[in-house]
Amino acid sequence: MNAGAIVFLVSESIKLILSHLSQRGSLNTLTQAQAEVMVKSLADALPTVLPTPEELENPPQPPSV
Amino acid sequence: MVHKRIVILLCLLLIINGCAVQSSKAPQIDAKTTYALNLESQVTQYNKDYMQFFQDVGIAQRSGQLTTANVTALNTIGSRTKVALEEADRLTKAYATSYDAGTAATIGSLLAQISSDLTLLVTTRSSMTGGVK
Repeated sequence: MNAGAIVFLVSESIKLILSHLSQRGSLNTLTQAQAEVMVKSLADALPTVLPTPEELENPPQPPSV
Repeated sequence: MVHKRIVILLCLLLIINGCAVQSSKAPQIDAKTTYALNLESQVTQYNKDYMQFFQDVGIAQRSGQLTTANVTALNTIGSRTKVALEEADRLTKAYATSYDAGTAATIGSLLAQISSDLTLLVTTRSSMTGGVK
């Protein structure tokens, strides 16, 4: 597994956990240190470039077998 | 003057309503970290809303619910939203290390603009499809 895949998996896991915790209001139970780590992780997970509306409307099709 | 007040009010409403962490319930987390977490949660959610909206537009166009002209009109608004979102993403990354108050204020204004654009997109699409999403 390459570094990019690991970063992707970690960021997706953090997003999933965050989503779950925020739904339950459990983010309020984070410690200061955990919250600081979360701030850094969430910032790193933000994209630098977003797809255009046209790219989102017409995603590339998987190659037919 | 009135416009400025509305923008400030919208920013406050966004921050209050979009709070993933509430200061009153999490006094152990300092104010600037709480603020950063809430900004990041809000920006992350708007990124998702933007992406989901235009994926749905593509599906609606292929199924004949939206015309090419409809999609072009929505894309015009969406292109503006994309620029604002990318700026909010960039500034939020910067805020996570600088905790600069001016940067936070700019992000707040961008979030108000993005929220307004997303609402406009949803209402416009709804009117184009006759109320069907």
